[in-house]
Amino acid sequence: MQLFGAYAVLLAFVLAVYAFVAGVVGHLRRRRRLIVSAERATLAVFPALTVAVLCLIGLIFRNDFTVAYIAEHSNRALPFYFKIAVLWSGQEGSLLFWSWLLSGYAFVVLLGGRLRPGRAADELSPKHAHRALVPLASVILAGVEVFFLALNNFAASAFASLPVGTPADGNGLNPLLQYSQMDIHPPLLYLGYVGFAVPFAFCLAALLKRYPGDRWIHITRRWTMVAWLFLTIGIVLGGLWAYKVLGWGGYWAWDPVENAAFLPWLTGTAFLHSVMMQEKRGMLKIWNVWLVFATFLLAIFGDFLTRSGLVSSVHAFAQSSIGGWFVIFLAIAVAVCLAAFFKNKDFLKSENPLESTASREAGFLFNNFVLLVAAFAILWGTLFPVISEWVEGQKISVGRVFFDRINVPIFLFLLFLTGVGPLLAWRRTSAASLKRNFLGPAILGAAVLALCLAMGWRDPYPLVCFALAAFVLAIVAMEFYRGARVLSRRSRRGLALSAVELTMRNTRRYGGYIIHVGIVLLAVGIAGSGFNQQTEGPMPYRAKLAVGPYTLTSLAYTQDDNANFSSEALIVRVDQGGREIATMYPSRRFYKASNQTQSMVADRSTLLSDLYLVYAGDDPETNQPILHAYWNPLIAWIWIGALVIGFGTIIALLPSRTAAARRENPPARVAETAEVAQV
Amino acid sequence: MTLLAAFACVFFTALAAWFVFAGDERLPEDSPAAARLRALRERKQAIYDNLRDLHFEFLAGKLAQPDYQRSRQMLETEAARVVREIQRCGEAS
Amino acid sequence: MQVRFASRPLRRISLALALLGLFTAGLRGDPVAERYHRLAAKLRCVCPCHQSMLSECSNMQCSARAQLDAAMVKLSQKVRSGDSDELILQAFVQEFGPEVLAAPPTHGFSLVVWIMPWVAAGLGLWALLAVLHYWRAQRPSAEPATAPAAPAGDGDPALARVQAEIARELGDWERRE
Ligand code: HEM
Repeated sequence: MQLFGAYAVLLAFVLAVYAFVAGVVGHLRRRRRLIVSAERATLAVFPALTVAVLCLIGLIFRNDFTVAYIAEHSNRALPFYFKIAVLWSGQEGSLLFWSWLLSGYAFVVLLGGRLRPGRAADELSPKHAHRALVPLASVILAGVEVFFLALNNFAASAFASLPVGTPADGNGLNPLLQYSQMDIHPPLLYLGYVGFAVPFAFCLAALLKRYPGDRWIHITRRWTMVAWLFLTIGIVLGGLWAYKVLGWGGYWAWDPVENAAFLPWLTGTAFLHSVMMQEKRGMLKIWNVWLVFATFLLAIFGDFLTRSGLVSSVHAFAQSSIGGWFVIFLAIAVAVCLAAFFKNKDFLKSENPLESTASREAGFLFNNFVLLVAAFAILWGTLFPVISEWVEGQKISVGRVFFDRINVPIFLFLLFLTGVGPLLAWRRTSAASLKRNFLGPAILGAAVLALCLAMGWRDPYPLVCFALAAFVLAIVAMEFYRGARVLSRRSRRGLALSAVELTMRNTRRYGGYIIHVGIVLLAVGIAGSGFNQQTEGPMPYRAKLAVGPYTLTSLAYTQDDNANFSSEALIVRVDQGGREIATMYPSRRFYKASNQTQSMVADRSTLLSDLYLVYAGDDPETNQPILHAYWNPLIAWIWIGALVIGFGTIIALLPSRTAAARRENPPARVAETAEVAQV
Repeated sequence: MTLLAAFACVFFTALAAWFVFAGDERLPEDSPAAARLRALRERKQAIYDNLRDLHFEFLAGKLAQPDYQRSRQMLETEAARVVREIQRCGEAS
Repeated sequence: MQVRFASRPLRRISLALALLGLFTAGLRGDPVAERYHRLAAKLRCVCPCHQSMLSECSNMQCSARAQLDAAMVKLSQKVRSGDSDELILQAFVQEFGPEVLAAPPTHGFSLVVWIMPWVAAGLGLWALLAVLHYWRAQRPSAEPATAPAAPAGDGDPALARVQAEIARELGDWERRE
């Protein structure tokens, strides 16, 4: 199975190389047979890699420790649902996984975009127009795949044997990864990262082909949304994992690897907005192309950061030599982007000038500006340690303090824009329209601000955040209400039903608004950290500790043991206002295979606040257990906000009802045919 | 075991080669003229969509009357430009 | 089975002495403990993982507990001996390098890290405004209905057709529901 797996990876590599070379030659020389065979080779990479991945999973489940990768990352006692996670928890396996996902994306794109044999070529209906790009896009995807498969084969093979002998048991999976979130967080994150290759491929293909029309931008937007959705959920799950597992009471540490995932998210978000300028008004084409390029390059760059050991991080893989490969690939990719751009720049001319600074167009420009400034600040802070080492010879660490201080104001401004943007009309908005739209929400925001001040809160950032949250929510609610009112007047149906219909008529806009609501909830959850409380103390029997509104009492101490780990837990009673409300069990585990100790957080989460307990270990002198207690207000809203974002994104990905109906029976086309006939 | 694996390898290689070279699909492509005409129609469609949207926002009460009139006029002019272009392309082809 | 936790007696005893002092002093209101925490929040965990603040990295995740514990002891001793904050932080930088500071200092070369985002923001804003200005300058100055590209409505069959189509469609839309 080991040999066969290695063979499958090699076969996939050969196929990808063929697909790339034959595709390039075929497109340059316009040879249909070559292009078709290249497409088919791209398709075939996916089954080949699926076989390889299945082989690796089979080997993991068979506890075949002759395979170096498995000996290093798995062990016999590991429960089966974590054995799956072994696939992506080390460098080699996760690279294979990455290639497999990429081939899967290519597979889906190709299946959706090929014509059956014999169909006439110029039968492309408007709906299928983007298919003309698929052959070239698949070559570009194959090119990206060649790089990753080269790594899989020649730099980091998951199927390599140990140099000598076979150990009786493996070293085990890193205990930090033995959590259910870790079974889904990495795959989702990877789906996001890898997914940006698809819009990149379509965008580059359109540019190279100078493909007329805006279809390519629709398809690019669609795939960006898909990747963006996975990335968003992946990032938030990563935060959830950090929160529930790392035990420092927070969820986001501005760690280089977290930043690496955040960067393409920011540029991707910017693109999702600026793309509307191109679709609606034929503007900003050059900018959009570069946003797509940048998003893809940043995704690869993020992978590079995670894998090369350039910057230190808890999440990173062990230091390795594959950084050089990434640098070469990135250099080639940048060169290709630049060349394609300069060769075809004139193809990207804008069709319309901007008419007013008080217009939605201008709002999107500001949105893009803010998102890119944030992306730059984060990239800069992440790379600064490396820069300072070059310049000064000493590494300066740029941590949470820096990123918080720089980013909080930027994101508050973004939140403000999230409210303002949708109310500006396309083209121009007069003062009268502005007043009509903003007065109510602005008053509500001010009222919330006043209320917060009256509560005695003085920390400016959370205050501003709450006020802006109210402002944005009011605007979104108003948008839904006003739209629904128009529909309900016509149909005489209730407002709620009309709001649903409204959403389905223009999924994109109202899905977008739902996403904005999710962002607001997330922001509220983050602002809650301004009120965090934290304390720690020894907790012998009957000892008490106060945090937030709670009193904690240590009741007892238990121990447990199984094949994978042994554990000890504190039993803590939680009282609020003199009444017992819960019993919690913060514990610690000792994992036998990897010889590592791990604190298991106990977290009691409510909509208002979390009580978060960490059993930090025993005091060496007194042998008393030490407890860290955190009171984290509003954290649950971060996870809720993420769910709302996911829901909104799915809505925005659905086809709009009116658009779908029109496509089936396009009235405008009929009219045009008449026009043309008349002339 | 090794023999079996070797067989499997040969078999799959042959299968892959067959699959790659057996295809004879047409490519989804249209002539430059057709593509241009289609692009123009898309543009027109987009402008009509904008107009519908604008109208809806006006009905919802988001726009003052003069803003609406002005934008509608501009969009109509833009659409007329595209329609003329479509007519020209139709003549040419 | 008794759970085993790595233990090195000497370091543990000293840590215990130091931390116990702080805990038993009672956390609230004690100026020494407060200073300890304030300073700990300015220092990073010194273990190789470099993932959090000195004050937060205390739950045995680190592979280099010894170093971390020693650092915490050192910090508590220095706080006790009454050195100024500056001096204490400086001593840490000397021992562990500038990496130990949670935030880059605001002088010397690392000032650049603080300034650059705002420089970039300024440049970006300037570019943005320049683009807006350029676009507005390009805008057809006359009202669109009389712009040269589009002669007046009645003279232009295309415009008339579009207007009729639009009127029909929007009217339809209103009647349909
Ligand atoms: C982090 C902040 C933001 C996120 C994650 C976000 C995300 C999104 C997403 C995913 C969509 C749906 C796009 C589509 O379906 O193609 C959307 C729509 C929209 N966004 Fe944002 N957005 C954010 C901030 C902003 C800001 C600052 C503005 C202000 C200009 C804005 C204005 C809009 C508008 C106007 C729409 C609806 C477009 C339509 O009419 O179809 N957003 N947003």
